[in-house]
Amino acid sequence: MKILSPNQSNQKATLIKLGSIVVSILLLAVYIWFYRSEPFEGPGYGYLDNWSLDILTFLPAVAAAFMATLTAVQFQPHDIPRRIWLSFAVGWWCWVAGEIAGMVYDYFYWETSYPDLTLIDLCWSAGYAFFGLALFYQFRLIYYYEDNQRAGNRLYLVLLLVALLLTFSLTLLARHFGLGEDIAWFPLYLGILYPVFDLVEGSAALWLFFLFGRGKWGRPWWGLIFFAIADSISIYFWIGGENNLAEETVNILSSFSDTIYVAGYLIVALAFLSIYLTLRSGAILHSKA
Amino acid sequence: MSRFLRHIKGHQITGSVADLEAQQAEFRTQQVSGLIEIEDDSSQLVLIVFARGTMAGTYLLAGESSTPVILAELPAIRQNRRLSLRSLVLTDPEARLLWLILNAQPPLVHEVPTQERWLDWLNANQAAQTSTIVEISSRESDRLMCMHAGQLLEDEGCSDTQQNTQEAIPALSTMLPFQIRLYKPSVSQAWQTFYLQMGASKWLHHLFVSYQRLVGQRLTWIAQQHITSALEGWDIKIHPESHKVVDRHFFPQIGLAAEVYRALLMNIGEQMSIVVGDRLAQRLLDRAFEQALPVEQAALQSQRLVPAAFTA
Repeated sequence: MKILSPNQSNQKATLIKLGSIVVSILLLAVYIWFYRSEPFEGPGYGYLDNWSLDILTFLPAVAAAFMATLTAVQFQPHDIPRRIWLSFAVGWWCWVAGEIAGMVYDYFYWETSYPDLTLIDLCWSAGYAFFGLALFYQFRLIYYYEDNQRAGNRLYLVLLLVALLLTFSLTLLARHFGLGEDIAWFPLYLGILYPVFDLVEGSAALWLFFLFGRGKWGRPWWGLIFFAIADSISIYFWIGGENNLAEETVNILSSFSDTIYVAGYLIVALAFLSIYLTLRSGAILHSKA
Repeated sequence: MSRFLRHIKGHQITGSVADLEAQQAEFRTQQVSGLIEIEDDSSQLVLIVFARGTMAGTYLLAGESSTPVILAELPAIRQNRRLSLRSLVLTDPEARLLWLILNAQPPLVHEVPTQERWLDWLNANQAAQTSTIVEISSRESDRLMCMHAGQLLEDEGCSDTQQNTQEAIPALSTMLPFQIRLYKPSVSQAWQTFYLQMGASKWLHHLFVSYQRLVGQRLTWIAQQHITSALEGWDIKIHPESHKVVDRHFFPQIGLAAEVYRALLMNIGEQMSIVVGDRLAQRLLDRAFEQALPVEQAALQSQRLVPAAFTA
């Protein structure tokens, strides 16, 4: 691989990144426009409007998964980061599958309601599992590699157990307060598991955010922070929390939640693009962009 | 009259101070490292060590000890006496080794008649993590070796045979029985420079190892390529090799070595900060620095080569 001069590499990489940022902003703008204007079927949120938003979510999801995979395969098989980023990439592909499943379910169940448990849940759950694995590998590499990998493994299992038990407790609590009373127990548990995973994985991602600072290596994890925020709002509404809020507040929070959901995918895609360009061109950009 | 590497003839003449100056000029012009031995008619022996054309030091040998002197103040020079001169062009590591000897403590001398005695000595000093220059003298050849913290540094040795110093370094077993002189470190600038170079190389080595573990082989290679590019215009004999930093340069002053390593560490520090962030880069620098020996850390710190200096 020829290394370009720093100036040549910097210019090319900067152009690609700037172009990608512009495209991302445009896509987000289009998403927000579709969300607010519902151009196809007017007020009432029709199927075509929903389908348009699904596509505008699906494309960033594919971008995130694709860039994560492209970056992961740049590493040698014996490189530890390879397994981190491959796990992460698989997680994103699971969520791409979830987005596809969502569109399929919308097609068949638009006029009714989804079953309590769907393939979408399988895809989301698998995605969370792989994200958790990627985070585990990353943390173990940073904190436990030299000292005691078994200690890292034990901590991971403890955290997993805590998450599952916490979800169980929250499910009981939700039932007690009448939330999700029209949902079967396991689907409710699974529905609460998502924000718990978001909390754990989002917190881990936040830790990495502070640890890596502005370093490129920390940026792919920012996506998990975005999703944690978006999902928390969505799940709260899903279990009936929207009944406790004014309609205007619900609308604003819904818009916010859905927009940063898409932004999360875009952030991940852009973060991996930056790392990929560094790996391919050999230029370490002297700005921390 | 030859004191070191006795079996190499080198360039030998008998002449005047003008001839000595001509030989010194030759070293300066060619910018090579090496040694000029000067013996006057009173058998006083003076050695001048050159580091890539720069005079690293002038030393008067008396018995087993060497003393730094100013060439112009020597009676033989002031009186323009007839001088026996022998000049040897050496590689940087070889000249550096002689420079360390001339700046070391007076040697301890031991006889080594058998392989077993040699191995016993070796094992004992490895266990004690001894640092010393070992001069091995036999009837047929001389050999110099550097032991640092109990490890013999293979790349830091040299030997003479009856051919030349570049080839056919004899196995020690073929040199038995031999005599060894052990030159222990002193607090001189020469040894401080040596410790700084050893420490910096070790620091960079451990840094590359931990950096690669964190970010993979490709980014580590990129970092090493940037170092190579940074050194290109400097004519410095330092280069990355796998995870090691091979330093075969003779710095006659500690400040010069510090300047080069400061530039390398700043380059690496900046790259790591961009990739993994300042905090993690600092941690990598700190942990790698801790792998250096206390004497190496002290030498680095004396020149303000400390982990905190190389991240934002």
